[in-house]
Order: sequence, then structure tokens, then C-alpha cells
Amino acid sequence: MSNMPFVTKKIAKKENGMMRFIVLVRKELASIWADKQSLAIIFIMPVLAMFAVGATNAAAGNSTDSLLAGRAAPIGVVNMDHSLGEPKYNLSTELINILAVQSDVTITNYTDKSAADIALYQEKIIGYIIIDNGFEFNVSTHIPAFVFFYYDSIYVLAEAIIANKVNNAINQFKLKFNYTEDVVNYNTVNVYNIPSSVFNSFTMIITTTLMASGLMLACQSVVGDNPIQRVALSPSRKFEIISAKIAAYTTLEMAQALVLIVVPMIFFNLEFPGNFFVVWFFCIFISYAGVSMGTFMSTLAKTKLQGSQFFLLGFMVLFILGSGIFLQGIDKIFPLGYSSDGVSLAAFKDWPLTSLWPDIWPQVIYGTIFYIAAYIVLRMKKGTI
Amino acid sequence: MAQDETESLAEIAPDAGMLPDDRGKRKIIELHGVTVTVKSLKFSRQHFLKIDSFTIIKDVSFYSYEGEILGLIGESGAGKSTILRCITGQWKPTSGSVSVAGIDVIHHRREAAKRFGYVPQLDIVGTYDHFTALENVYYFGKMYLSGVPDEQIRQRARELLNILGFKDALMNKKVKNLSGGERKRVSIAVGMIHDPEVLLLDEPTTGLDISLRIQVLNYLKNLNKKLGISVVIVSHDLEIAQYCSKIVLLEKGLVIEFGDPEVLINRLLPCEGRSIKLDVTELNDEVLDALREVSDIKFVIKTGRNDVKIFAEEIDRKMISRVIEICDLMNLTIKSITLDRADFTSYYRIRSKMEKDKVKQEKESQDLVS
Repeated sequence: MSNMPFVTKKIAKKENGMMRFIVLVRKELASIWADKQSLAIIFIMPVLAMFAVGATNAAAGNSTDSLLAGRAAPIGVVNMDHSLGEPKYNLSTELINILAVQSDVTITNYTDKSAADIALYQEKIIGYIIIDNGFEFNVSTHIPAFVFFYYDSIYVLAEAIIANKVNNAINQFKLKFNYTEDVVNYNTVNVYNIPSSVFNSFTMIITTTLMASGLMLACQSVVGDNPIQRVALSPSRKFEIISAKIAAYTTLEMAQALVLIVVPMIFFNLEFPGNFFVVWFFCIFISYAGVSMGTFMSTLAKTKLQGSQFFLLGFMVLFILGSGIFLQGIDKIFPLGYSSDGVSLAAFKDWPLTSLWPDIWPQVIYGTIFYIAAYIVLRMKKGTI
Repeated sequence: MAQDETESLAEIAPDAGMLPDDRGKRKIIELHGVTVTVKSLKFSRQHFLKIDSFTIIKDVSFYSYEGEILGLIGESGAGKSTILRCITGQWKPTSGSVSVAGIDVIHHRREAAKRFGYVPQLDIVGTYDHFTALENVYYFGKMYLSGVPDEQIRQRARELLNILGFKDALMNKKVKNLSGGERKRVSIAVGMIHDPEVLLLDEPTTGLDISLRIQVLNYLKNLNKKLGISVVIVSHDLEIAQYCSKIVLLEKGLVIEFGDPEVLINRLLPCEGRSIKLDVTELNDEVLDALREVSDIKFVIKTGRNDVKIFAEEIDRKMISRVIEICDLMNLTIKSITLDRADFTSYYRIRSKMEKDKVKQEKESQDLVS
């Protein structure tokens, strides 16, 4: 040290990597905060969308057959019928057998309603049918009999799937035993008692908004940051720069998640049995997945217009393709399905965070892949100012 | 974790600051044999796809001592920005070495980055528009001085902005609401917040009007004087030469001149650059030709609509009388006739003309031979 008289005083500066990272995050958050108009849009638009979707859902009709075809239908059956009527057949068993041969249906028999409820909670079945005692007597004496089916309202298509299978089974039953009148009818019961329109709005808006919003914001995070190359000339590492952007935008998304959870509670009287903080905490993973993907796309873009186009591409891949509605199975690759699952289970079945791990890790992996990819692209970019 | 940098510096730059030259100064910037060649894929009819290489700068060598102001001057495409990018570590040269404060930029970019402050040409990439002047300097300061308390950095930011002419109200204004000259000064403050040893400025006067250009250059001179900071200015503007201790003149990627502007002028121009400045009522080519025909007059350059500078072997009463005689012969009214010194613009123009004449002569003699 004593041999360096010219530099000692000037360069004895302290470096603190963690402090620098925190400053980079603060800078990003301050930049976001400085744009009040965009902030208003980020928070108000999803709330407006929630109102709009909620109203639409309330008026929505049944799902089409094309959406239901090929969907697995694990159904539970609680057959409590001991009545007699038809001498040659056990009619309740016949109905169950007909139901069992419907396409994609697997039947599990339960001894009582409680056992079936537990299976429903554990997601082993999407719904269950109770055939009350007196079914055979009523049908054979042409008195309308009712079959009750309980469906998991967490699963958006459960009611439609079960209604479709049960309807087909009843029609085939009537044909087989030559009943022309409506001897068998069914009533549906929405387990978990969530009004469908509100429920669908809640899970749909919170998951799609968080992921889409994260994607959209982050798509401009690198390409829209004009002084980023000057930041890169400082001792800041490119990994710190990318990490700070992802951390800052994920933090913003968490604030948005808070609004999205609280608004339906206030305006739609949404009450969910789940733990509020578990639901909110789960949103970190949704935000992380969307923000990471957006940040990666922003590193690829050379202009803001390209950044916007990349957002559109990401949106189509994540939401239209990745929803699984049009292509079954693909939702297992993309994180949207896991986000919806996780929010629903946490909010409406009070699953603890540790049980949500199967829905957490795919999002974490998805987000981390794009996180690393964003860093690699930024590092390779020959930035010049 | 905080770490004292002096130990790590000893490992990577054992010569940093230890070897002043025989004048007691050390080299703050040094380039040696730097060449940058870029390759690109091109479609061609013959080969369909071929790799084309293009040399942007070739064998560039120069240096600057601590406390000096170095000017990198050249026309567009001369390679100035490329050299700057090599110094800042944005580009890796194909060959050669670059050091800042004794640290090899190519292999120790992060360490070198702490020693220089960079002020980009475009303000839009230099500062955050939505932050105030003070906030910009603060945030960049924290990136460099992450272990230093916030209040100290804010204090330093205020001091710097004060030196650069900012009052309290102005430093709390958002950059997007500042004028061009003010934005440039904020960018300079950002480049200086971490107390670098050298400030690198890319075209700091481009886009500014004449008064702002002078203002910015004067601020830089002030910073150099008050804080002892070395400065490197990249510009196509020859005016900056008068502020510089050394000049590097670039042309088509090559260094064609390097040295003290005064020395360069004295070397090329007769009489140590002294000249006669003549302002007449009507100047035309005949007058210029008549002046050039005088045997002792070496160069005549037009500096305005009706004024010229005359460079001769001897600038004395005899020469002044000769010039007055010629004006009388041509019935010209002399508005003023003064003694002057060559500025760098005159030097550059004369030099360029000499080069063109040389090339022309060579071509003519080649034609004769063939």
C-alpha cells in the first residue's frame, strides 16, 4: 500500500454487492413509481376486468361438447338404494354400470357421503353421485326419482362434465329399460358453495392478470431502460441488473395481487375458507414466472416496438396455447394451469403452502429458466453507448 | 461484504500509480497497437455467403498523463467512438492493449471501470429522464460506491452539481424538464460522482449552440483545474483543441498526429504559427492567388467572407508592407490588418490541404510514369 502514493486515497472505496443490488431494486421501483399513469393502469384495469368478466360469467351458458370431449371424469358413487321394484335387475346398479361405460368415466364406489366428500377434497374425484334409498322402487313404479350429484366447483368444467355423462347415462338407461317419461332426474349441488360467476372471475383474473401483467411490464424492462448500458459500465454486474429488475417487478406484482384478492372480498362479498396470506404468498410464484419470461423477451428486443410484439407472442403462448382448453395436456408444460390450481386450492380448500408444492415448483422452474436465459442474452449483447 | 480494494488492486495492477515517468507524472490512459477488426457475413453472387472483415481502427497508440485534457479529434467514421469503446471495455480490441490508471481494461474491466467516468453522447442514454438531477447522480453514485452511506453520496452529488452550476431548485427538477446544456452537465456529474481519475466524454458539445458549447467546455476545464481530474474528449469539433493539453488526430481509423496542439502547429506552420490576419472589403480568388504568388508566403487560408490568414517564413514589418502593397495594387480597401496566431482549425485545414496536394502529386507522377 505504501508503494502506491498516487492511488491510495482515491481508490480506498468500499464495495458492497448486496447494497448495490438493493439500490438497483430501489431504482427500478422508483422508476415505476415515477410513472403514476402506468401505475394507475396496472391496478385499475384488472379490477375493471374482474367486474366485466364476473358479469359475463353470470350470463354464460353451458360449455360446448367440443370442450368436454376427452376430458377425464373420475366420478364417485354412493349407492344407498336397497329398495326393490324391478324383479330381474338392480336398477341403481344398472344406472351405475351405464355411467361407468361412458367415455372417459372412471367410477369409484364409496360407502357413504363423508367418504366421497373426503375424496372430493383430495381431488381424487371431480364429483360424486348419491343414489338415495327408494330409487328402484320409484323408477319401477314410474314415480320420478332423483339422483344428486355433487361437483367440485373448483374445477371449472366439473359440473358440465358430470352433467354431460349423467345425462347420457340416464338417456341410455331409459332406452334400455323402455322408459319414455322422465323417470330419472338429477340435481346438482355445488360443493364449497362458491357462486360460480364470482369464483371463475376470482381465479381467472388473479392468475391471468398477474402473469400477463408481469409479462407485459417486464417486456419493456430492459429495452425500455435507455441508460442500462451506462449502468452496465459501472461495477454493477449484469446478473445484478437482471436480478434487480425481476425482483422489482415481482414486488410490484405482489402489490397488485393484494388488490386483486381484496377487491372481490369487498365488492363481491367473496369469502374463502383459505388462508389469505397463503393465497397472497402463492402469488409470488405466478408473478415470478410472468416477470421472468417478460424480462427474457425484453433482452431479445432491440426496440420498444419489438418488446411489445414479444409480449403479444408470450401472451398467445402462455394463455391461448398454454391454457389447455384447445390442446389437452399442454397445460402441464405451461405455468398457467398450475397457477389456477394453486390459487383455487389455497383459497377454497384451505390447502397449506407445503401442500401446494406440486403447483409451485413448475412455476419456479419455468421462471428460473427464463431468468437464466435473460442473463445469458444480456451478457452476450454487445452493448454500446 | 465490504472489501478494501487496495489489496486486490495490487494483484491485478502492480504498476498502477507506481511508475511515474521522468517528469513525475503517470500515464492515466495508454493505448498500444490497438486494432479493431469486425467480421460480418455477406451475401455475394460468387460465393453466396462469405465472411467479410473490416478494420475500423488500426494500430492506434497514444497516451495521456494525469491531469491532462486529451482530445480525440476526427471526422465521422474516423474511429473515435470505437477507441472510446475500447477504453471503456465495451469492445474488446482484436489486438493491442488498453489501460486506464495502469489497469488492463481488457482483462480487468470492472476494476478499470471504477477509475473512469463515462459521459455518453446522447443524454437519453446517460440519465433517467423521470428522476431529478440529484437522484440521477445519487443512484449512479450508489452503483459505484455501494458501501458508502447514502447521505455522503447525496452530499457529494450536491457538491458536484454546485460546481457544475446547479442551484438547489434546479437539482431537484426532473431531467426531462431541463435544457440541453443542463442535461449534459447532469450527465457529467453522473460520470464524476465516484471520483474517477479520468473522465471520458463522447461528443460533449454536439447538439449544443455555440454559447452552450463554450459553457460546457469551460466547466470541464474548471473541473480539470479544481479537482485535478484528467479528461478525454472525443469530438469532431476542432474548437476543443484549444482546451486540450494533447490531441490525437484520427483519419480513417489511423492516428495521423499525436501531441501538444502548440507543438503540432509549430512543427507544420512557419514562424511558429504566427500569421497576418487581413480583413478587406472584397475578397476574391484573384486576391488569394496574388497573395500566394509572393515567394515567402507559405499558406493563405480564407477564414471568413472577406478575411484571410497569411502564414509566411517571416512575419515582420516587411511582410506586412508587402501585403498592403498587393491590396493597393488590386484596389482593395483594408478594413483591418492584425498579427495573429494559428488556431487548430487553421492548422487542420492547412494540413488537410497539404495531404490532398501530396496525393494529387503522387497520382500525377504515377500517371506520367505509366
